[in-house]
Formats: sequence, structure tokens, C-alpha cells
Amino acid sequence: MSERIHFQLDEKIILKLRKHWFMLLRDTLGSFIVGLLPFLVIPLLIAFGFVPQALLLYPAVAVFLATLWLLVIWMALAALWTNYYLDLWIVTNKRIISIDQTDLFSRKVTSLSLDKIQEISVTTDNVLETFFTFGTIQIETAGPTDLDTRMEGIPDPEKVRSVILEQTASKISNNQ
Amino acid sequence: MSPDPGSFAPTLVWVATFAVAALAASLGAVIAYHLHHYAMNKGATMLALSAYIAVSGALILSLIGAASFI
Repeated sequence: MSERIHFQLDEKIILKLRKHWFMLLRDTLGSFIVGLLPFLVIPLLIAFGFVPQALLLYPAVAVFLATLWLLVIWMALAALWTNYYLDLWIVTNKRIISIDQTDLFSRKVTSLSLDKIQEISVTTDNVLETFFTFGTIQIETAGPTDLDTRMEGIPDPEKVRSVILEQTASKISNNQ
Repeated sequence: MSPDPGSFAPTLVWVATFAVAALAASLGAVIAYHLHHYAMNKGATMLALSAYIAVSGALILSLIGAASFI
């Protein structure tokens, strides 16, 4: 269990949500294309004679540059995966914890009490989100802090909304 | 006597090699720190770290190999 989030004794985890795998694929695809580009473009440049013949005599230089490039792309992919993996929503029977890992060095953890929730809206924006069943959930809360939270790429957002509403109703009835 | 301009190339290659290797190792350490402190599934964490170390290690070795031939 995460060391930085402390749960109360009677607090039960209902859902742990990570963004849909398509969000990771979308971000990763860009890095893959950028990574493969030199391997597609450079042979074409050689074929059309844009690379000086003298450079072709040093294959070690080509291997060196290709490996250097692949290492940089691999590091970018590792950072992307880490950000994806550490972005998390935890729904408990008392609150919603939103962990937003924006990059390797910035992290925002928000905790919303279920009885403060005023509105939950689900947005499905395009064909891909409709086809793969994921979307954005925005939760608006009451109170002076006006603390709202939003998470994109949640799988099956309608079901998640139902679960949160059930837990909210249950918490409110327990408080009365 | 001025140095031969061609002798700078191998030096640059080794500087680039060690700079990128150091960057990859630092990134590995940052990822390990984050996953150790924040990840909820230690199995997935170990798998991801092992994959990162294995691939980065292979690429760094390949980089050093190519640099030694330049």
C-alpha cells in the first residue's frame, strides 16, 4: 500500500482507478514515432545521396548515434509510464482521493469527502472515447474551499459515477 | 602547437556517452524512489524497474561498445 496515504481504521477502499490504457497508448505512440523517424529518414537520405560518402565509412558512428537516440526515447517512455502508473483515483466509503502525477517532480493529492460532493459530471468527447468506453469525470463540491477535481481517461465513467453516488448516499444516511 | 581538431571527436563521444549514461541512471533512481514511495503494487513496480534497468543497461553497453570503435 502507498506509504503517503493514511486511511482511517473503518475506511474501506471501494475502487482504485487508473486512466484507461488507451491514454497511455496515445502518449506512447508519439514517442515511438519520434523514435523511429531517424531510422526511416536516414536510409532515404543515404539512398538519395544526401549523406556524404565519407560518413558511410564509419558505421560505429551510426551505431553510436542510433543507440544514443534509442536511449533518450527509452528514458522518455519510462517517464511517461511512471506518470501514468502513479496517476490514481481511490474511492473509499468516506472520500475520494485524487492523485495527480503531472510529471516526475510534481504531484498533487486531493481528498474529497463524499458528503461534500454536489455534482458529478461525466463527459465522453469523441469517437475513441465512445468506442473504448472511457471519459472525463468532474466532481464539484460544496463549501468555502470550492475544491473541484477532474480526471480524464477514466474507464467506464458512468459505472464509476454510480458507485460514487451510491457511496455518497450511504455515507449521508449513516450520518443522519 | 595547436591540437588536431580530429582528436576532439572521440572526447566528445565519451562525454556524450557518460552524460547520457548518468542521465539514465539518475532517471532510474528517481523512478525507483517514486515507485517505492507511491506505487500501490510492489510486483508491478519491481517488474517495471527490472525492465527499465535491463533495457537501459543493454543500450548503455552498446553505446560504450560503439564509442570504443570511434
